[in-house]
Formats: sequence, C-alpha cells, structure tokens
Amino acid sequence: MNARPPAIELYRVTKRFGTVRAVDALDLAVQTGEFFTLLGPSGCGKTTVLRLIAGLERPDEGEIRIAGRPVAFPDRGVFVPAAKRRVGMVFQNFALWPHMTVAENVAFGLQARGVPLQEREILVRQALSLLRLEDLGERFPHEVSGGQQQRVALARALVTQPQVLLMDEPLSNLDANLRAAMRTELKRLHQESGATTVYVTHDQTEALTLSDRIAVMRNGRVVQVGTPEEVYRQPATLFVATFVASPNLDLLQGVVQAEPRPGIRAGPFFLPGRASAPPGLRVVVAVRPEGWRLTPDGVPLVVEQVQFTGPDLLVVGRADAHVFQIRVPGDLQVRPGSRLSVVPDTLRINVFDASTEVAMDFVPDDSRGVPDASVGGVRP
Amino acid sequence: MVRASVLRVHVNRLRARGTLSVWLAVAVSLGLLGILVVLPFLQLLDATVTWSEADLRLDPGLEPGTKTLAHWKRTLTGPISRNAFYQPLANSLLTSLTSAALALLLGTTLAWLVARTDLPGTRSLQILAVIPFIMPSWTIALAWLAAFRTDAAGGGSLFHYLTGASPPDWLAYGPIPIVVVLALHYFPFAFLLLVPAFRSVDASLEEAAELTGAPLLLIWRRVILFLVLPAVLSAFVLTFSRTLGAFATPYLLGAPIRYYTLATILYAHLSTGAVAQGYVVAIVLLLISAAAVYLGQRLLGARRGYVTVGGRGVRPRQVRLGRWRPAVAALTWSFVLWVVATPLLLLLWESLMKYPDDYSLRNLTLHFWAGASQPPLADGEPGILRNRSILAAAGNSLRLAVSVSCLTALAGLFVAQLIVRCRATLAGLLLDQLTFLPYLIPSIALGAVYLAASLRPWGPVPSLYGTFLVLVLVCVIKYLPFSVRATTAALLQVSRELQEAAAVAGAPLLFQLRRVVLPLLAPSIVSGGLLAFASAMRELSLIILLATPAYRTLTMATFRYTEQGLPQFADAIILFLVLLTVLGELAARRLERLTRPGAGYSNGGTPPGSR
Repeated sequence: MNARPPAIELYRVTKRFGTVRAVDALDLAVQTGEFFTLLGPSGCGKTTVLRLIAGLERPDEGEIRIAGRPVAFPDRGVFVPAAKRRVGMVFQNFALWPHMTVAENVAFGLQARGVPLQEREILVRQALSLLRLEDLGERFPHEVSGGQQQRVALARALVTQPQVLLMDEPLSNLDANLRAAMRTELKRLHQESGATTVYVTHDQTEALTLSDRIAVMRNGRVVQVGTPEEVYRQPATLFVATFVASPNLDLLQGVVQAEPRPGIRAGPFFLPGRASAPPGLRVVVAVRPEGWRLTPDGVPLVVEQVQFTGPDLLVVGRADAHVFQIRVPGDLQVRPGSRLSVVPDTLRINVFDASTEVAMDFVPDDSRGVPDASVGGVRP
Repeated sequence: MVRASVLRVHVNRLRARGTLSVWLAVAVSLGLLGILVVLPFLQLLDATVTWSEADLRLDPGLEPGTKTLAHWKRTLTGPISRNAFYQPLANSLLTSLTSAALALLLGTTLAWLVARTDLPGTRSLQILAVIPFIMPSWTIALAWLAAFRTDAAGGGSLFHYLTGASPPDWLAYGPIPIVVVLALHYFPFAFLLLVPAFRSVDASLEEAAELTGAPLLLIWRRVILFLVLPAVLSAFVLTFSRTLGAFATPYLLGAPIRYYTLATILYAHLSTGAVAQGYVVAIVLLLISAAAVYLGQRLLGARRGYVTVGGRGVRPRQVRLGRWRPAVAALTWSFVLWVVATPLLLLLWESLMKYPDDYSLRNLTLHFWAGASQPPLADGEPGILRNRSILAAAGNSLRLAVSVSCLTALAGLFVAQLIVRCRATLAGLLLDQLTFLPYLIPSIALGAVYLAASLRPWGPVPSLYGTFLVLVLVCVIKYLPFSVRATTAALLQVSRELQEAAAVAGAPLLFQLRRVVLPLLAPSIVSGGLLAFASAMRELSLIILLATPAYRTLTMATFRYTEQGLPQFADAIILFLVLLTVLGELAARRLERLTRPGAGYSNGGTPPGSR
C-alpha cells in the first residue's frame, strides 16, 4: 500500500493552442519534497506544464492531481482555479506588482487568504529575513536590484507556505555571477522549506546542479525522467544526450559488426563488445570530452585548438576528416600542432540506434576502444 | 445513451476551459457593434437609393419608397453636379492636399529639431507645439476672421482698423486662408506622429553607417531618410484624411463666398433639404477618407516593426546646431509661440471689444463676458456668464462630455479585455476591426450616417432623432477606437503575469482586479476618459447634423454667434473651451506618460534592463 500519493500527478494531459499540441498526452509524477526539474529547449512545452499545474492554463484532456486531489479533469468538468490550489510561483520576469512595496508584495497572498494583521506581519518578517531582505520592505520593486527582485519574488511565493513551489526559469533574467549565487540560495531554500518544487529551465547546468530528478522534454512530451546522474550518464535518446551535454559532444557514425570480432566500428575506432542489435545496424556513438583516453597506441590526432577552462583544457584535435573535443588535465603541455593519440573510454560512451535515435545496450569487452586499422575487415 | 454522455463530456470540457462566458461576451459585443456601426451605415446607403416623400418635388411621378438610383445620378451626372459635387470635390482635394503638405513640412521640421538636435527647451516646445491641435479646430479660423473679416460676414476686422481698407476677398475667404489655417491646426498632428519616428531611428544603424567612413550627407540620404520615410509618408496620408474631413474651418472661411468642400457641401445639402444628395456626398467622403487612413495605417504598420525594436534605450545622438543654434532656436520658438499665442490674444482682445471694428482702448468692455442685458448692444443678450441660453448650452456640453467620457472609458475597458482575451482568434480580430471602423469615417460623414439611421424607426427602436442619446452614441462610437487602442496597449503592458501572480497567491478574481489590475490600469483609464471629455467638449462636426435646439452645445453656440455677427460671444466661448480642453488634454498626457515604461513604477513588473 502506498502511504502517501505523489505531490503532483499528471495523467495523459494534453493542451492545445490552436492546432499546436503544446503538451501531448503527458504523464508525470512528482514526489513530495522533491526538487523536480523540467528541462528542454524553448517551445518544448515545459512552461505550459508548469502553468497547467499552477492552474493558469486549463488542460484540454487528461487529469491533474495535487496531493491526490483532482484539480483539473476536463472530462468531469473539474477545474480548481489557481487561487485555490495553494501553490507558490516564481515567474520568469518576477511579476512583482509595481504599485506595491516589497513588504506589500510579500503580504498580498496572506491578505488574500484573510490572515489577520498581526500574524501577517510576523510571517512577512520571517519571509523577508529568510531571503535576507529585512531592510528593503519599504522599497518599491523598481528601487531594488535584479537579484533582490528575484528574492522578493521568492519570498512572495514562499510566505504562504505552499504545498508546491513552481519556478519558471527564475534565473534567466540575472547575470552570470548572480545566477551562480542564486543557485546555491535556491538549494538552501529548498532544504529549509522542504516544499515540493517544480523548476523549469533550459539550462542543463541549473538542472543538473539543483535537481533531485529531471524530466527532459521535447515537443510536448517527456523523453526521459531520472536523477541528474541517470540523465547525464544514461541518456535515453540521442536528443537527451546532446541536449544535456551541449555543445561539447562528439558523435561518431558507426555500424554494428559480429565478425571477425564483435563490436562497433565507429569512425577511426573499433569498440569491442556486444551490442543488443543485429550486425550491420547503423548506430551513433556519443563521446563526451571526458570520455577519451590518452594512450600511445590510439588514433593519432593533430591538435588544432586549445581552450583553457580553468581546472583543465579542452583540446580540439583532428584525425583526417574527424574532429574531436577532448578534455585533458590542465597541466598537460599541448599547443596547436602538438600530437596526441586517443581512444574512446568504452565505459563512458553511449550508443544509439541511428534511425530511431533510441539508446541501446552495449557491453564492452574492454574498457577502451582501439584504432579501427588494427582490426581490419571491410569498412562499412 | 452513449451519445448523451459524449455530449456531456464535450460541454464539460468547454466549461472547464472557462471560455463559455468569454464567447458569450464577445457575441454580445459583436452584436452591439454591428447595430451601432454597420447598421447605421446600411441605412444611410439605403436612404440614398430610396425615393422619399421629400423627393416628390423633384419628380412627383415616382412613388415614395421606390428603390432608385436617381439620387446618385442626380448628384454625379445631373445638371447641378458640377457646382454641387465636382467643384467641391476639386476644392476638397486642393485644400486638403496642400494643407496636409504644408502641415507635414512644418511638422517634420519641428519633429526633427525637437528629436534630433540640441535645440534648447525641447521639452516645453513639445508641449506648446501640440496646443494648436488640441484647441477646437476652428479657433484659428475665428482668429483669422477677427483679423481679415470683410463686410460680407458682418465686417469689422483688425486689418480694416489698421489700414482703413477692407481686406481683399482672397485673403479673407477661400482656398488660401483655408489651407493656411488647416495647416496651422494640423501640423502638430504630423509632429506628434513623427517625433517618435525620429527618436527611434536606432542609433546603432546610424553608427554602423558612420563607421564605414561615409560622409554625413550620404548617411542621411542612404540610411536616416530611408528609415523615417515610411513614417513621413504615413503621416502625410493620415494628415490628409484629417484635412479632408475638416468641416468647421472650410465652412467659416469658405461659405461666405460660396467656396465649398465635400464636407461643407454635405452640410449645405442637408440643411437645404437635399438630404439624399447629402448622403451621397457623405459616402464619397467616407470612401476617400477610409482609403487614405487605411493606406496610412498600412504604411505605419510596415514601419512599426523596426520602430519598436529600435526604440529601446539606444538614444540617437544629437546633431549639434553649432553657431546656428541661437538663430534656429529663435526662429522655432517664435514660430510656435506665434501660432499658439496670436489667435488666442486676438480672440481675447476681440471678446473685450464693444464693437468689433475698433481696437482702441476706449472700446474695451466686459459686456460679452459678464455684462447684463443692455439693448440694443449685442441684440440685448447678456454676457456669457449670465446668459441663460449659453449657460444651458454649457450644461449640455458638460452633460454630453461627462456621459461620453464615462461610457467610452467603460466600453473601451470591456472591449479591450475581450480583444486581449481572444487575441489571434477570428472573433478577436473582428472585434478589433469593427471598433476601429468609425476611425476611418470623417466626423461629419459619421454624423450623416447617424442622421440617416436616427430618422427612421428600426424594429422596436423608435426614431432617435432629436434625443440626447443619439448625440452620446455617436460620440462614443467615434471615440471608442482611441479608448480601445489605449486600453489594449495598457492591458498588454500590465503583463498578464501580474494578474496571474495574484491568482497564484490565492486572490479571488475580484480581489485580483481590485488590488492589482485596476490600480495599474487606472492612469490609462482616467487619461482615456479625460481625452474623450476634451474631445466631446470641443466636438462640432460630429454632432452638428444631429443636435436639435434643445440640446445645443457650446460649440454650436459659437457657430451661431459667428453667423449672427456677434463674434465677441463666439470668441469668449471658444476661449473658455480652449482653456478646458487644453487643461484636460495636458492632464491626460501627463497621466499617460506615467503609465509608460521607464517612468516611475510603471514598467509592468519587468525590472529595467532585464530583458
């Protein structure tokens, strides 16, 4: 028996705008207390999902439940308006009411719910101090900085102690330094408030660093749900792999082979191992910059470019028609024109069916690939 | 059984989507607008092809009620068509094209000086320059009459006082004064349209051109001119449509020598009983003007794309006038001050004169302002402050202006909400276009449309001619486009997220409206109301065909006194109207500025520079 229902459930939810299916028969369940991220490129429907949960959009089909209670179920005519859902939301452009002070902005939700004045003042003070805004209560939104506006928006969303906190790209309006600081702040707030959080972003770094679980979305559908590690290490499709790692991912066109030795031929490499696919199947092998091994008997590369990223170097190297991006330790002496010799680390690659772009199993015989030339055989 | 439950699911879905009530409201507004905008026009059209009782004197052989093209034939090809249609058409085109060109020349120059040079005092200049346009349209015409009136219209002018001779007719009446006066009234319109265009030429486009090493003249020719050209063209077309529809000025300065334009011949036809002919002229006027406005909007629409993009923050650099600065400043300032002050001072002085021919100090009197009845002076009429009929007219004007401004603001808010809710749907588009339609119609033609409609009963609705209601309706319909456009813009600016944030915070709909939406919209609603108030106070051409003596307004009183040869009354009333409308408009503009981004708190929730 399940003791508690998930905090948020979506069953076959569809939302159309005109003829476009912004959300297409989507299923989703967010557990209580979880920091859950919807990740995807712009236009994938992630913001619409958030607005459906908030009650700002009405689904055309399907059912949405919050804490086990149906809040939108068009077939039965059920729709609980946003005002009655007890959710908090942080909007992309903050949506602070310009004619109210910071304190009035924060107090608004309490006032709307009829919380008595004294209690209201205490709660507002608590929320302001939680967000380190104690001294700014009397200012108007346009009189505080962008980062502070962001915190006001958070205080306003949290003050009513919502069951669910929704955030729509809350960091996209901040500059890079502030964004990093606010990430830490958001993590702290989530730990302190314990509110179930649904977070929308197109920034994979935000998603990976903040989330308990991530749902990667594309064209109104969820492509994969998983922990940050799962989404990063075992992407379900080529799209997830490229989107989560973008832009530094090398894709090698390859083919599965059984004879003379089972494995995958991909570009200048041969990856020994057993693939869950018939020989001859075309595949795509994805290698991340950290998925390469420097080895004397690998494929020789000429270094074309070296990018210093701080802890390490990103080397762009060429072998004939292939260009690879390789992460190497920061103390390695390389310059454009230097020669390196590399093979893929077979434990850190992902293999996808080239036609369906779905991930497939690949059990390597060895932890590293070898240059294709050393195996021989007919080139695909 | 199965079918019933499927149906229920569908109805439930519609209801759950919350669109049922919206569609109902849209349907009701579309119906109302259809009755108030489309139907009157059809009735006007019908009246031009129907033989009426009054037409029996033209041809007793035709049965009243017969459908016939006789009116169209009579107007367009009959023996009187030359004097009653083609000559006025030619006059109209001549005066409106030349005055629009002149207004554009003045407006463009001034706009460039204000927007792009280091001319001193541009801020005050910008407010002052708009005043001639805010004043009732025939204010300058009255001043012109005060200066150059001949004996043909009651005599007594500044010209005569100074020279002892009567001014020549060509200077007093006809195309020259009409063109000059219209240009002076409408140049601020072109100015208002062009200042933003000059301002929003993206500085980076200009700088990019400069970095190529091109000389300044080449940059002007190839870049700047090209960027503002659509705006200048559209300003010309829109100004033309205004001057074409102008009624009061061509009437005051043309009628005494029988120089008619389409707008004034329309009035003449209707007041001499040639009703159907007047309607035909109204339709022609309406078509020309609608075509012009449509063209202007198209040009403006094509331009809008880059104006808004360029309009952000990047301020174009100013041209330094250098050693020309004092001369240019003196010239500009004296021109604007002259245009604003001369007519008003002339009217003020004349309103204080016992006899309109004598500018000496001993001729001064306060009689026309506050004097008691003193026959035979002024036909025994007391000054405007004690004059029963004028005070009654003031009461009518105020009643009209107040009801019109309230109704316009309310209807505008309602329709704008619907348009925003139904954006990108066919119904929303239809609503938008239908409210915009009256904007295309010159006031006097719209008056004719409503006259045709109000003379006949329609279904359960009795004939509305002679009622106060019809005056209110025609004004609301005419001003609605402005109100809807302004409110829609304000609604879009008060980003939807602000209301959504209130909803998420747990506020019920009424609480959201009261605490968030209304406070943010209030400045635009009030400013829209003030604008409608000022417009209704100075309205003449729209209502002159519809108002009966019982509902005579102040504006109509000025007209009557001018025709009666008592210009002092007309002057005094017009000065009062100028004061009221200028104050109203300036207050409205101030409020409007408050709601624009970057001013105070009014950036709709978006922190400055965050997008």
